[in-house]
Amino acid sequence: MSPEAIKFRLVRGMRQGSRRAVGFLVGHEGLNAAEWFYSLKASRKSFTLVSMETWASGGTDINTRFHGFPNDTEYPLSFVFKTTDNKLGHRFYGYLDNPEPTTNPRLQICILCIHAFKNERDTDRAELKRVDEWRKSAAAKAAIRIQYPDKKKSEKGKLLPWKP
Amino acid sequence: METVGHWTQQSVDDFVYSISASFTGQLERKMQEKEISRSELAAKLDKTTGRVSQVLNDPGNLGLRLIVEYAGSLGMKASVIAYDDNDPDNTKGPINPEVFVKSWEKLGRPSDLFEVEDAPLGVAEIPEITYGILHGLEHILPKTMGCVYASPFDAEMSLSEAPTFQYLGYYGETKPPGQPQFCEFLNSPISQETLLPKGKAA
Repeated sequence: MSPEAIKFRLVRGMRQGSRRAVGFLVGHEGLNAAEWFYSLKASRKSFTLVSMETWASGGTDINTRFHGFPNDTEYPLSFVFKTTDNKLGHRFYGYLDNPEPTTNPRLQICILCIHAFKNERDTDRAELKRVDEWRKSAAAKAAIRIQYPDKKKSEKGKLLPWKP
Repeated sequence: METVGHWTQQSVDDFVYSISASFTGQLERKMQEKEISRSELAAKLDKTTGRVSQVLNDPGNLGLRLIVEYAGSLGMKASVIAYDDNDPDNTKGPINPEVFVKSWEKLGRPSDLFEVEDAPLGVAEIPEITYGILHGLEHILPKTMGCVYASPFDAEMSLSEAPTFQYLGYYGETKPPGQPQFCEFLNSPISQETLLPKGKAA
C-alpha cells in the first residue's frame, strides 16, 4: 500500500464545526466508508449528515445515532455513526484524533474508515480492530498530516489555518 | 478545486429534513437522559412503537402538531424561530438547534426579553467548568465554602494549564452574607499560586 494513495477528505456538503470536523480516509479497498456513505439512499444520507453535523457542532453522543467508545479498554478512540434503512443497520466506523496539538489543540476530527451492516445487538469488535489498525498506520498518519500540518506561521509564508 | 455548498442548498425539502432530523435528535437525547425507551414513548403518545420508530428513524417533513406532541411527551416545549446568520444563500447550512438551547440556558433561561437584557454577561450554566474546577479544587478549598471558580480560558484546560482563576461566586441555595450569587463575576482574579500551597500540584 503506497502511503501517498491514502487521503483524508472532509465530508462533502457538510457544515463542519469550529472545533470538530468529520471526514473519510480514502484510497484503499479496505477504506469503504466514503463509498458507502455517498451511495446511501438520499434520506439516509441526509439523516447521517445531520448526525455528523450534530457531533461537529459540539453535541454529546446520541447513542442511537453516533457515539464514541470512551470506556473501551482496547479502542477508546473509536467512533461510529449509525443509520437504519428498512431495519438494516448501516454503521460507519472511524476514530477520533487531535491533528494539530501545537497550533490548534482544540481541534478534533473524526476520521471515518469502514462501513459495515449491523443490527442493534451486533457487536463492533472486528470493525473497531480494523479501524484501530488504520489509526496506527503510517499511511493514515501521513494523510492527516497533509491536511493538518500543525506548523506555526513563519515570517516568510502564511499557512492557512484550518477552517470549518 | 470543486466548491461544494451545503447539502441543504439543494432544495427546500433538504432544509426541512435537516430541521426535522435535528429535532428528533433532540428527542432522542432527552430520551437517553431520562432512560425512556421507544415503546415507553409510544405509550405516552398513545401510538405504536413502530410509528414512533418511523418518526425517529426517518423524520422527513414533520408537522407542527407532531412536533408539539412529541416534545410535550418528554416534558419539553417547541418553538419555531427565524434567525439571520448572515448567510442568505445558505452556503453554510442551518445552525444546530442545540446552539440556541444552550445559549438560552447560558443566559439563565430568560422568560422574556427583559430577562435577556438583565442577564449578566459571560454567565451562568457552565456546569462543565464548574464541575471541573470544583473537582480539581476539592483538596484545596474547604468543602463548606461552596465557592465556584472558573478559568477565563478554555474549560477543557487542566488546572495546571490555566494561569489564573476568577471567582464566580457562591453556588448553592443558601448564599452566605456578603457572597455574590453564582454567575456574578467579580473582577478579582486569583492566581494559581494563591490557590495552591507551594509545591503541591493540582
